Amino acid sequence: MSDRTTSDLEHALKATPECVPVERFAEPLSAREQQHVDGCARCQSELALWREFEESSPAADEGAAVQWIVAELGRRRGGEAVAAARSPFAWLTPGIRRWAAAVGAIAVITSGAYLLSDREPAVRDLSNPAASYRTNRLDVRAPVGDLTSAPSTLEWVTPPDAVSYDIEVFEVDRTPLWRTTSSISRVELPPSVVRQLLPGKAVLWEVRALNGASQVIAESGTQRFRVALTGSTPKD
Amino acid sequence: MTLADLSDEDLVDAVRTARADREAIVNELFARHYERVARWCLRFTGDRESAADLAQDVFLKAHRHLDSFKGHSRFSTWLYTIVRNESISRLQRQSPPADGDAVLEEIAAIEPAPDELAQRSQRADRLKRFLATTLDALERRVFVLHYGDGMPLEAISRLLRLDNASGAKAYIVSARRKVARATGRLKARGQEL
Repeated sequence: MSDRTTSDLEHALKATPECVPVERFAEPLSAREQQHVDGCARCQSELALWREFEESSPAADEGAAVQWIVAELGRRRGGEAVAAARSPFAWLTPGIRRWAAAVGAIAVITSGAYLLSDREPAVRDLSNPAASYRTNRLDVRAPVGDLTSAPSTLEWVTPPDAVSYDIEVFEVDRTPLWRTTSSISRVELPPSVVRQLLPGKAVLWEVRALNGASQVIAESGTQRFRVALTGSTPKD
Repeated sequence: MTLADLSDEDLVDAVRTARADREAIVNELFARHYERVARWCLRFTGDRESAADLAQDVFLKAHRHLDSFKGHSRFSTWLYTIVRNESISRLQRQSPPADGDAVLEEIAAIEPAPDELAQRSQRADRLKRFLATTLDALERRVFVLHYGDGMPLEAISRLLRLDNASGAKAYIVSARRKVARATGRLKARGQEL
């Protein structure tokens, strides 16, 4: 086939300015629109697909798979999807991210050299529940400090006006382990993260509270916990 | 009145004005359409894991662009445009259909008019009319989705719920035969498309 014929055919199969926008399909079409649809293979195809979507009538063999996907969506909605939507880094292009990663690596090396010359700070004891809320400071409940077993949840105090929370879990070198968003002051750690909470390994986490305008109104700062060597990691 | 009592469009308004529980409203809105979107994505991709990934991207995009919903259409129709575009975008990021150009050799046999730019639109109109008069409605739909959007035949079969034995492939084979016969007749008469 000649390139031009292919190109013309592709052009002929694409929507044109005269084509009826999908948004109009739910309303009664004007005589002119109907006349166009009757003669336009593109519009007829769009209409057929849109009707299938709107009617959404189940086929006999797909019920279980659809329910699995629905459950998966619900689970993910509490996690990565919303976190990505709200990520303050979403505007970063891959190129900028690579540069940022390089700068970050230099910072980590520098920090590592500094820490090697210094004693590891004592892990904060969180057995004292007298945590109190201060302006712009979000106090956490748990986990913090040395623990006898791997935690399965992260919990914090609800600040006034908080609508949602961004939560991040890191390795001690700030390598991200997990990020999620929650509308309540508690999240469950997924099994993939819990499996990494090995005895003796310190883990960092942060939570930021956001108001209705998605502005950060309180931050926890970096929290640290560690499962004691005698502790156990929960099974899945 | 609870969130469940509100229409989709009212929920979108509520999201815009909410000072609290914004995510709860979005969750209510999206959950109403999980099954619809899941079903579409399953039919498009053919497996539940890929479908879940696609559906997640759809709702992520819907969440990001919720402010762009102006209420000029139903929310479900707005969501459909996202589902459709995201599905096609995903295809375009992958490889094109294996039998892309070769299948329309029959049309290639017809010599195109010489003044390309000026007549291109007219030629596209002629091609449209040619397809409209040569193919029946279902063949045209399959033809447009496969060659116009690059949709795999298996996906078209599922999306259009074609329950014949070979699905969309049967309609493409039939369309190709009809195109071949019609272009042959035109050539025999010395006519151009």
